[in-house]
Amino acid sequence: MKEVATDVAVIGGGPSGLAAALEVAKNGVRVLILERDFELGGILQQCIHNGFGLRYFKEELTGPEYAQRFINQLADTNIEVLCGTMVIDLRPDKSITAVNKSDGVVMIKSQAVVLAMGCRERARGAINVPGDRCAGIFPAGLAQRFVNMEGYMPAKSVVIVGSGDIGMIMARRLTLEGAKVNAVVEVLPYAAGLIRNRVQCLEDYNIPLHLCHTVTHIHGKDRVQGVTISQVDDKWRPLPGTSRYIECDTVLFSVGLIPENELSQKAGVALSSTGGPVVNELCETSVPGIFAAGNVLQVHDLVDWVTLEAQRAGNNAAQYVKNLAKGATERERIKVIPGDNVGYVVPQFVDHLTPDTRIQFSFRPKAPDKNAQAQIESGGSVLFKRKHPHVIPSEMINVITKLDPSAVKNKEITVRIVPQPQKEAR
Amino acid sequence: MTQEKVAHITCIICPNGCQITVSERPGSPPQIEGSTCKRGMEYAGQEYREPKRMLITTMRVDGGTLAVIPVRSNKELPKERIFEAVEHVSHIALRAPIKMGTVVVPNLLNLGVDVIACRDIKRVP
Amino acid sequence: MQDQQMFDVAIIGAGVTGASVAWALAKYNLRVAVIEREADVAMGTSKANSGILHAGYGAPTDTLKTKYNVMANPMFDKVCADLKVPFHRCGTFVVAVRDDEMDYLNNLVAQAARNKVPVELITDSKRIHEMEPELTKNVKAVMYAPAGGIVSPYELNIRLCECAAMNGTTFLLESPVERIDTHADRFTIETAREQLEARYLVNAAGLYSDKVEQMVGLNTFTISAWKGEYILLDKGAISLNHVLFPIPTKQSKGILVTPTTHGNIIVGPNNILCEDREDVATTTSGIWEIIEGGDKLVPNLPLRKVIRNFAGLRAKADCDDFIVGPSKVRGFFNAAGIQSPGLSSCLAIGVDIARMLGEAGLPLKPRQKYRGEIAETFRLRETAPDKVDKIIKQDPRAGQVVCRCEMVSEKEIVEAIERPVGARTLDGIKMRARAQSGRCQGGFCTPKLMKILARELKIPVEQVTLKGEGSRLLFGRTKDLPSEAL
Repeated sequence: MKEVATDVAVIGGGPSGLAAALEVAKNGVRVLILERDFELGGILQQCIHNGFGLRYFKEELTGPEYAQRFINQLADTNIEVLCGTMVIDLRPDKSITAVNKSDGVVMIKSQAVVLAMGCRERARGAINVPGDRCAGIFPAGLAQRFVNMEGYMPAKSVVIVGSGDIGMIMARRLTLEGAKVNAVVEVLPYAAGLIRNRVQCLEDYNIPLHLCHTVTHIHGKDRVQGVTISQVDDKWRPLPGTSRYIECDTVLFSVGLIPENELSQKAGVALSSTGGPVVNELCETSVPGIFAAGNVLQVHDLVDWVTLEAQRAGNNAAQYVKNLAKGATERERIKVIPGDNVGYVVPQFVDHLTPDTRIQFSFRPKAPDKNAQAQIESGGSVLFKRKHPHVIPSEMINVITKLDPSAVKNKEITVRIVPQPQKEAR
Repeated sequence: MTQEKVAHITCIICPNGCQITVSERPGSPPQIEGSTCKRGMEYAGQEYREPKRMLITTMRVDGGTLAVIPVRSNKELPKERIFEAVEHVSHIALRAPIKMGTVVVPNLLNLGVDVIACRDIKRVP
Repeated sequence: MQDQQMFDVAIIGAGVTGASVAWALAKYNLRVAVIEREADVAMGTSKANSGILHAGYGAPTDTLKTKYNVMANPMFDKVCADLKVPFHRCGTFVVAVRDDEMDYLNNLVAQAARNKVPVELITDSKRIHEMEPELTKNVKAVMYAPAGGIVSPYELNIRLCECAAMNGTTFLLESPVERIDTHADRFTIETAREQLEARYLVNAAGLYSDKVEQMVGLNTFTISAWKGEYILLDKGAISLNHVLFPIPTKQSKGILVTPTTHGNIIVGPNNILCEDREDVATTTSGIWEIIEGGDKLVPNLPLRKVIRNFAGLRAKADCDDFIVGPSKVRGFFNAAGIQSPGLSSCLAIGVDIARMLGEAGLPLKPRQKYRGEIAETFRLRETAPDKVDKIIKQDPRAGQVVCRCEMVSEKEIVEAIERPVGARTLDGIKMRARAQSGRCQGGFCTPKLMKILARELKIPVEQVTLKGEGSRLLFGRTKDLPSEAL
């Protein structure tokens, strides 16, 4: 068995792991990236569309280009990388068991861990779509991998379930590769992804978008032959008499991403209702020295925010290692509570609040709204407010701010989205 | 009888997604209605006159660690030429190794636009 | 090419019933063929059921259902150990949640006594919840049957076939029987692919067993297809210790909730008559029926942990019992109408058919060098790290994890393909090696599995199928790429 010692082990070599590792290395701390695929880059390697890096690089890049920019930085560092290596166990003492073809079993001892495993796609069965179980039913990301990396066409005529960005982008991609996308079916009354994608992926190609609809049956014996779709009410229940049949040989599902936390659970990391670990403002989980960033923590829509979050996690992991001799610092445990129209907030705790601490709060509205105001409040006083002309669940809101510790009452702060207060009459 | 051209454009500049109508009579400049900001008006005008899109696709790679490499145009090209552009590069095979940023198809379809590689691809040993 | 092979016994159908007959005959010096219409064994009802070993109280005493269930039940420990089939004799509960269900429960206790199946009626709620903490608080009483348990039905089916194959049985797959000519001392069987002859014929053709019987000029029973739908929950969704049955209704054993041998939870089945004997689609109403039924027994079922829904068809004969034994046609034996408790009875049906064939003149001489045990299969997720390391050093493919959710290595995928009656399809890999069975349902591993199948079967990746002809996943390559296995 190969035994490896490092200071920080980063599990996952996608955008989150890369950014975290680079930040650890900047601090002069030893770091090892463990990546299961044959190369680094993670999910970005199959996201060949553009829209990445507008914030971080102030350029519009494709996913692979964004990844390559970070991969290229590794050459100037001492960061160690093990590709083709799957972590199969992570224990509360941070020891890691991994396997690969050349080394066999690799036991890694590290002082700190950054969880950067990303997320998986929700499958057809998880949303209880009835019907046959034939060939031609894919999560959208699987079709994306076939087309964009393996060079295979999984479809000739398609119905896509879910109008999130992945679904809309695959509608365009498959069309450009010669398939016919017959419909995108969305259960909400609005397209779940960016307007830009609705225009450039659906309208550009005259692909019908059926809002307030869901697939109620998949038909096919050996291969998909078609789907039945129905209109739904506001509780997503099919309305009788509204069903219609659409022929297709392929059904793609783009119905949500789930943070991949099986390893986190093995380490005894507490998980939140978002599916990701409960963390504090340092991106530290309930296990001191284990940090989390990227889609494993919360599902992001812009990789630019993943990079910032991962840099924070990496920086704090490095600080943790440097401060180990000093012993554990006490955690304040100020609770961060999702308030009005807020589905969840990351971090769930603030543990070290000083007047100079800049904290990043990430959250999403439960429902779309216009002319809104994001607020952070405690004990009845508003500590922070910012205008938001539009809020929509598919777009994460990030607030980076200092907070006055004396204004925090009862060790609780609430993040909420409220209507923009009317200007006072003069 | 005057011939009026009308186009309906969804603005993509901000999440408002204003539904903009552009109407044009011969001899007069196009009338843009429905936008609520200057950027939207400019976008609608450009989209009406000459809609442009980035080309983003994959190209065959021989001898590399992957069968295809993601590529894109370095500038937008006319929207109506996109399918032709995808078809054109579909029949060109590249050879590994390739570095990100390499021009793999110069002056695509004589449009003054280059196609560049979006990542490194290593050669299979 | 007309290949007229001569067999002692031909078995039509490679579900658990046909597989059990083949396994029972394998210890004798006989030439046996199993003829199966699908691309793999276990593709019908045998892979889409509750996976339960029934204790044997459920059917009236003087039925073949009871006879074979009670006979087979004690056989499972040794057979599953020898053939490396996941099996756990965890016990079953029949749960009464209302006072008006007590009559039925008491009648069931009496039937258990008549069937000589040991059961215990428990009314002490504290004890019940110590045994099964997640059971509904509304429980009035449970009938506990310690002889009940859970078994992986498709793995049992597959391993029975492997054992038969290891001992010389021929398997003819993708070979639906089209015609049977009955002669004085043998049968000529024509399938879509070949022609063969056999002295004895065993009809284990499941949903089509009445059609097969008609091919030899008999018309003694009709099969109707009854659909049962299920939902499957992720491993670790909730902790259950027993198979949980509600009080049965006239139509079915009711919607049960059970752990599986792999740590998942299954809820189902309903019971709906199907005109189309190929209709295994799940339905909106069916899924809701199952969720409601499950809720009655286990109120805290975490439905957000559902990962799949599926359905199977039960082959019910009009007499509502098994039809096992010789027919009016010399040499033609039925093992038909095998609805529940078919899985629980299959081993005994196999042994008894073998016995009956012997009585009908088939010579049952013991096979020299009979191999009745299957060697332990390497499973990465079940092996300690130091042993894994040694194995990877001998075979690096053991270190290449292909299925992330179930932690399956490439070595296991290749093994699933290379073994007797090995996997040829993605479903075949799923049944043998578990890859694609987990949370992501193949979202991650499918391209890797397809490349391995293509390489091992020496076919282009585009020809890899989900479950046989007609079910390819891919239409071709993009960008003028060559069509070759990677």
